[in-house]
Amino acid sequence: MQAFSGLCSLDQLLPGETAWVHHVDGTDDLSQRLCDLGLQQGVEVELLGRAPWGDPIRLRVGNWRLGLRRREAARILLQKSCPR
Amino acid sequence: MMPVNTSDKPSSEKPITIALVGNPNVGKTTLFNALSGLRQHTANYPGVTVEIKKASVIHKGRQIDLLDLPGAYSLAARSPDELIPTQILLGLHCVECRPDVVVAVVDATNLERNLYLVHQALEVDLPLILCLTMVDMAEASGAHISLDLLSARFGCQVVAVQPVKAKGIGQLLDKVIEYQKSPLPVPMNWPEELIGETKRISALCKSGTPDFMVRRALFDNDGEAAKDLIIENRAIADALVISRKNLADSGFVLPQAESIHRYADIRNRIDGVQNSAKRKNNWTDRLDAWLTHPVSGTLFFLLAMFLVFESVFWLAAPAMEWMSFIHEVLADWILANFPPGPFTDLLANGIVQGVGGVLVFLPQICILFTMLAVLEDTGYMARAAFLVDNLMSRCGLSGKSFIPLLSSLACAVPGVLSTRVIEDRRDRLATILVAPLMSCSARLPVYTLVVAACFSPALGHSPWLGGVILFSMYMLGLILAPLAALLLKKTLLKGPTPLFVLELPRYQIPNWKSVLHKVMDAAWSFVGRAGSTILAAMVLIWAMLYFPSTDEKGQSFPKQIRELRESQKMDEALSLQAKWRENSLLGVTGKAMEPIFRPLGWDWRITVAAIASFPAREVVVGTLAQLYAQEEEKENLVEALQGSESPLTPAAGLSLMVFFALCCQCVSTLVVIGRETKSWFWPLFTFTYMTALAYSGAWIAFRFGTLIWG
Repeated sequence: MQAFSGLCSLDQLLPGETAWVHHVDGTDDLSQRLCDLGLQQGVEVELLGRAPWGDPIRLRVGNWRLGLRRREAARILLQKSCPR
Repeated sequence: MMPVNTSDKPSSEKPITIALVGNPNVGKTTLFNALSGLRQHTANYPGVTVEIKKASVIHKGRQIDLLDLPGAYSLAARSPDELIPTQILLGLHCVECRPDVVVAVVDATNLERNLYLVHQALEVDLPLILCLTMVDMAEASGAHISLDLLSARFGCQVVAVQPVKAKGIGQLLDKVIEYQKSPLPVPMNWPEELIGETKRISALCKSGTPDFMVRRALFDNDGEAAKDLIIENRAIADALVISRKNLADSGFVLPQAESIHRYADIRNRIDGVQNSAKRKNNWTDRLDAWLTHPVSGTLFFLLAMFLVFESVFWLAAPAMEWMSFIHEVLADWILANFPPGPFTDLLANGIVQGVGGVLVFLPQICILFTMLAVLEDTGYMARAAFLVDNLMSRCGLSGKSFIPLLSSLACAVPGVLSTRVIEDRRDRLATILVAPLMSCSARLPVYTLVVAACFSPALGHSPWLGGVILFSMYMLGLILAPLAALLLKKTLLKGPTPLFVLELPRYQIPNWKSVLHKVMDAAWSFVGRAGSTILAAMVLIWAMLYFPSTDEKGQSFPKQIRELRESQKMDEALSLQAKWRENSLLGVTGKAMEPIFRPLGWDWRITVAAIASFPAREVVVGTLAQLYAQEEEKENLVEALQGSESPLTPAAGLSLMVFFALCCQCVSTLVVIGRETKSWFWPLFTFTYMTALAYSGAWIAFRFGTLIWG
């Protein structure tokens, strides 16, 4: 992942932290589904909280809220500074 | 299916078919209900494995047929189920039932993501009507949406509706009727490379294959559309690999490229359509900070689940007692006032008991579904699934399986019905198959009877033993159900873990109409679907206990018993009645099967009672009462079980309880599983595996019991 140094994955975000989607990693249907949900470059993501045992996590993506498991959130790579 | 007449008589014109598409949680089902009316009987779309509701309405003299396609975020298809909406929209599933118009339901507060599915649906060559819900909420947050501009950008009609308040419904139906006047919507312009590769693949497909199917085959690597095309021509498999590589070389890297292009196009189209909403940390977020918190959220969750379960268990109890009281009074009245004979007996002991046996479940189904509908409509259900997902994922399921399993502690029928919220087919099947392992309330009378008969302090047992055994029976289901689910997910239902996307909708005050609709839906589907089968089973059991009604000399049993009773020879009447039952079809069957159940410590009476209760386990107490009470003239069945010549030993009692805890002796559950899975394999499978489990469990329990109590 040297080409994308400076990126962190969504599961590493701390509660209350905001970041921006850089890209969704992988070539399988999981990444396609995440992309279809609108996890596109530049979309703002906030980690709202975690469930007991730290998994799944609660997110705000743009204007909607969803729960996602950490394993899947790890596919989403973020940049910490606003791209726009 | 009778269409609801909203205005005048239907004309002879061909009915218009509309397909409702939309993301989950956008109010699509509420819109469907508002369009079809509260009393509308809905049917299922025939020949498909997924639930697609059908209904008809008459608007301004035209019949409009509605199809409610499953809620989805995208038309990308990795399983046959996911391809069904695409096939229906393209008319591939059945040409004559291809919809005439697509009605795309879109949440106005989240336009961009909701329009993704619409953007795909623009390409199926059907007129499309954009139907915006929650416009009032978008406006409240300061996001004004220009419907005219949206309409111009997508080249389709736009209507704002509020299905809960029945606003905009007439306007929507007006636009549906005028669909022929509206032009086809404007799909996006794909890059030249993609158009070229689509043509290359198309040339290999049979003529008439829609471009949309070809593009789906390209976009969804290992997807269902590709599988469909490859069946026609195997060369397509290699061609798709080459095309994807060519596309990647030109910068169109799949699987991400489709969504990148579509979202870019959507952003262009909605630019200026809405002024951006103020970022608000609304009260949903503030409430969620508490309700999904590991500590306070878990406490609230436990409290909520406790209340749901307790209310089903205890609120329903008086109503259930009242219902059984009514049908017993009615049965006695029939026996006393009708001329004696097989017909009266059938009426009182077969039909009245059978109908009563169905209706007795109605209170708890109604109460449970009221609670579930309120939890769902407030938005709490998604939070509950969020909190327990980690726990449930350890047995291969997701948080969405928790409530159906909890509901099954009251009754597996509503439990199985409530698995519809689980989108993943394998997860849903696993949940359905293990739900009957949870100890439902119909098992409780059996447990309490056996505990009172075998483990009461009066017999010298410790006073807390009964409670411990009762608790163990519940624990048996609570432990075995997750284990069985895990085993199923590792073997029969093996597959990749599905993407767990749990949308956390805004908290809302539930709408009573929507709650009522869900409750009525559940109640009628139970009475209608399962009612007739339970009744038939009850009548069958009655017949097997009634016939043959003559002894070896050809004398009628009931007549002889009546005569003995009239001459006050009670003991002789009772022994004759016992003989009658023993010689009945069921008695003979039970005796023949006794060797099979002897390792479980059962005598022929218990065997007969257990076999009689295969269609509905609550029958066992009544059958035992008949078999025992007629042998020993004691009113109390507990005393009869303790006091007969061969009393029920604690070990045999324990094995009987374990058998009932693990066996699927419930025709209603099996029928509902058959309906929900749309296959007879799964109910058969459930019945077989649970019976095997019950037999082995009961055998172990008997051995264990013999060790302890001798």
